[in-house]
Amino acid sequence: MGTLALAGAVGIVLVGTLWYRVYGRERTEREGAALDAIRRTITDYALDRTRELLATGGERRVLIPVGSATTAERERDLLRLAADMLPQRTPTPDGGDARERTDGSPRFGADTDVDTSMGIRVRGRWGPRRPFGHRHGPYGPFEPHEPGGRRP
Amino acid sequence: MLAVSVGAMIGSGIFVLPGLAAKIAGPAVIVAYLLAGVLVLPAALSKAEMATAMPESGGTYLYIDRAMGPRLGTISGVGAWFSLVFKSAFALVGLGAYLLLFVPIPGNRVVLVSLGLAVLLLVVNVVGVKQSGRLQAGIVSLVLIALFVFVADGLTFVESTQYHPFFEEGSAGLLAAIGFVFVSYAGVTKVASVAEEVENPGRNIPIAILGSVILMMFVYTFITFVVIGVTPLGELEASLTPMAVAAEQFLGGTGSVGVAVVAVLALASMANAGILSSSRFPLAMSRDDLAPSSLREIDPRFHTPVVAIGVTGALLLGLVAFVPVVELAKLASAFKILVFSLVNVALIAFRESDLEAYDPEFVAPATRGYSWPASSAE
Repeated sequence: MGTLALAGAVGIVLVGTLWYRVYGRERTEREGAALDAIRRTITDYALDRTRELLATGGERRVLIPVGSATTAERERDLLRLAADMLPQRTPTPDGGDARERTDGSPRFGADTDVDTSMGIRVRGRWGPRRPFGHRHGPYGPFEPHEPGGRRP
Repeated sequence: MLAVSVGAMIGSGIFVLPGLAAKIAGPAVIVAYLLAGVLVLPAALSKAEMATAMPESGGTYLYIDRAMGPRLGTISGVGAWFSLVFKSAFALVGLGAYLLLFVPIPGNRVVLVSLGLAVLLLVVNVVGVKQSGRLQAGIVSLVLIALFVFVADGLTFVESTQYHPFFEEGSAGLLAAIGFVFVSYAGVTKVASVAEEVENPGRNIPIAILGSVILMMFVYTFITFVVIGVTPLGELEASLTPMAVAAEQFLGGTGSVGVAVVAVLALASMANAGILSSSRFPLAMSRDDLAPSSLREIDPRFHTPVVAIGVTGALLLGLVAFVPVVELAKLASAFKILVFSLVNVALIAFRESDLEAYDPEFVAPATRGYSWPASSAE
């Protein structure tokens, strides 16, 4: 008995998915209430973790993901954000954490000037800290800034 | 109101399935009916709550779509439509089997009779019979009285030896049978889908949904108890007309015919309700742009969604003509269980979303204590 019933259920789900892909997807832009609930959950969770981390103090590192398509402006934004997250009065001695690379691609190497200036910025000019208390967008504090960014 | 939902449930669930389910579980099928009812309750409560918050046509499809977006909405809409059509087809085939008992037609013509009836019911649906609601209520009352007599009289004929061995097919058989008879409670969906037309929905919908599930749990349990108690198991398992077989044991030939007539009435009204409500799924999906716009066209003469009924009818006729009966019931049952769990998830989503528009008059009690990661974060 089990096989046919399960096959029926799977079949119906497949037909529904197919119909949605072929017909419904391009005609609808709605989204359900659940996505909103999940986003809130994730945002709240990220906020709590960040607050917790900032409250405890101590040594910490911020990893900034940079791809080949990342613009210099965006890099600066990210670095500023990262600077906000580090403890205010205790920059790392070499200030080099912001320069550390993981993929070894030549872009930064060829562009050492920018890199260094950024490193200095990170180390030398601590911008006013952004308060984390306010509500962030759906991606939490790490929301993309450029206008073409993926927004729901 | 209660009549609508009981009417939607009373039909193939009791007139056709007991024999096939007994084959799967043995006498334990009685327990299977009871447990299936218990399993339906959470989903029934969820539905009652969402129906009071969104009293609109579309039922299950609407809740899942609004809660989980158009992708799952499409799946549930298409699926709910399919399984309701399956159910109607199943009722029609069972109806043919009962009709044979008092109308002399050759066995191989049963399918033709079922097809003919399907066409008739489709025409009725297109033309839109205004009195069908009252007729439905009348049929339900008649059927309930007949079932009461059947149980009351039958209980005095029950042979205790019939129940041994009780769990003939073990726990696996019992579980399989629960899944199998689950569809018998699927009628609760239909109350929700007519929520638009109910007076004082905040009070009446929960009462109708819960009342009918609990009432049907008793009805199913007592009837299968009598059917199993009076009928030799071998005869029962092979039968598509278990109620008539059982009635013959203690009421004789007349009783059998009487039951058959009642069964035909009940199954016809069930198939009718099935066509009516299943054709509203394409309609609701079309309104949300998930199906071609022709499906939401309302005929100016009859005031019914003719194209939606037509497409539904085509599927129905195809199923009756080409797909074997038992497979029909099975195909729909597992998907129903999936939909019922999605309904529960939808409820949680609505509560967590803080939508201001979501303000149900009735709050499902059993689910107040559920845990959800977000609750702690807020």
